[in-house]
Amino acid sequence: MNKMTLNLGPQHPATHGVLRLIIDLDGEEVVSAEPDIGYLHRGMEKLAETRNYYQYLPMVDRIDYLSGFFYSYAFCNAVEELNHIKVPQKASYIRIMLMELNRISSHLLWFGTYLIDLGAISPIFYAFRERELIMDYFEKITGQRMMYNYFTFGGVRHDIPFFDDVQSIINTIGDKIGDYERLLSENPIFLDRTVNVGVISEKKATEWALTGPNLRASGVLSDFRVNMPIYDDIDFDIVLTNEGDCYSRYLVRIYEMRESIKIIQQCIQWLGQCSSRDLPFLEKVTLKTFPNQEVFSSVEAPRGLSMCYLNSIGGNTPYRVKWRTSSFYSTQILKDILVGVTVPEIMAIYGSLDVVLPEVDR
Amino acid sequence: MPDINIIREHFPNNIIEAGKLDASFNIIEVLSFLKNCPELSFDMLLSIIAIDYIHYNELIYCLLSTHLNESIKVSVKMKNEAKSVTAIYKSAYFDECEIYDLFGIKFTGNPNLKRLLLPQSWAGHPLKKDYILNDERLKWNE
Repeated sequence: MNKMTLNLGPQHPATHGVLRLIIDLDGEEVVSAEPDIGYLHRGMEKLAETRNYYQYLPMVDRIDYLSGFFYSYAFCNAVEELNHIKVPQKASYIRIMLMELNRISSHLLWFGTYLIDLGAISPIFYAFRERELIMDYFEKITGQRMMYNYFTFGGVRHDIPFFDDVQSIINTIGDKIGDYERLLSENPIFLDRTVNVGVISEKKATEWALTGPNLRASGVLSDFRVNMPIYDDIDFDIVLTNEGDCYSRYLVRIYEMRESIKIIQQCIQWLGQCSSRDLPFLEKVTLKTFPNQEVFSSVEAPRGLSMCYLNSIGGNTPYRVKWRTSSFYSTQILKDILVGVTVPEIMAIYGSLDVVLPEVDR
Repeated sequence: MPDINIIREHFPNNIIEAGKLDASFNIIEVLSFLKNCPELSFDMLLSIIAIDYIHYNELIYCLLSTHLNESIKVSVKMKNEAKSVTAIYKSAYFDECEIYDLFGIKFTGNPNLKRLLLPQSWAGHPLKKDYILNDERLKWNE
């Protein structure tokens, strides 16, 4: 057999961005795969060193444009820890509610695009129809559809007046998730493409540092939300499957959307109480000097554990900011799991990992 | 913080300060102990963070134990050369390449150390504090 080197990307529609994969093929079989990243590197960490904290805040949404609230939260939380700012409880509930809505919208986008990767065109129309409800809501309260810049140090920028909207959104989405499942979960073509494809064992998942739904699909019980103090009063289940193939990664995300709906329901209940209407949503702070300290602030984003490392040596600019993003590690594992698969399976596996390239390159 | 006494017993010469275990002289031994010790089992290397303190560099290894749901930070202080930990944690490969790319720290033992994010032809290491910002657009608010 003749060996062939296939250059996949960086401008390839199914990579959802600018990932380049250098793949050596023996016929249909992949012999080796090497991910090449950096096409979207914006120097997020260097830019932080020349800006003050307020100037850097709007930029962190852009690290992952599909789940901006999580990165805002991680950065705000880091600065709040650094300055010992106590966030009002109402702001925490608003943050959780918006983050969970953001998780649903991110998973919906993954759902639609993943099925396009597999050749099913119609699910993306359904997924975007529901995602649009969330986007419209975000636009209503933050003025933006994607880069929100809504969380700030000490709370959130505005109060939220519209809770009935959220209730109707989650009711609709709750129904529609059932539709998606009826459409796909037992669809023989979908099962053919995903069951037993791209199996990641528990050991492999941990040693390549996968986190989030990808890790939980491999049977590792690990969800950073249980460690986050703001989720203390929230009751939710961690979704876990054991097979580690593309189909179980699909299942984990579908069930996670249901769990998110459960969480949002609890937030609406708390926020909808008459007594919470006049509570403060922002702790007014003036940040002039910063202590000489370092903080690690983590959050369970839709794609896994995201961590903001913030190092301050005084002054009003960070000395060093480092972002730990989960897609960075989901890309790295391709080197291992693509070996031995066939060409049509490459995109089925890569798509199932839910990689977002701006998050990889930062 | 996990059970510190086990770590103290095995490595009496390593100091724990500010929540970080200092392992500047025996990083390989410390990490392989933390990974393989059944009571601790830090099976995941979340990330390696590099910081340039001008006179020296610091690396912080963030480890997570998925069984115990606990994390620990191990720090290494050095000049410009560190030991690669890819033999213990496979996920360290991209991290080490990125740190080499942005800080110029060389990792001995890394199978294929190369620039990861920047073009191979790039000059200098941008996250170092002595890197000259020759781009006017970066200076607009200084």
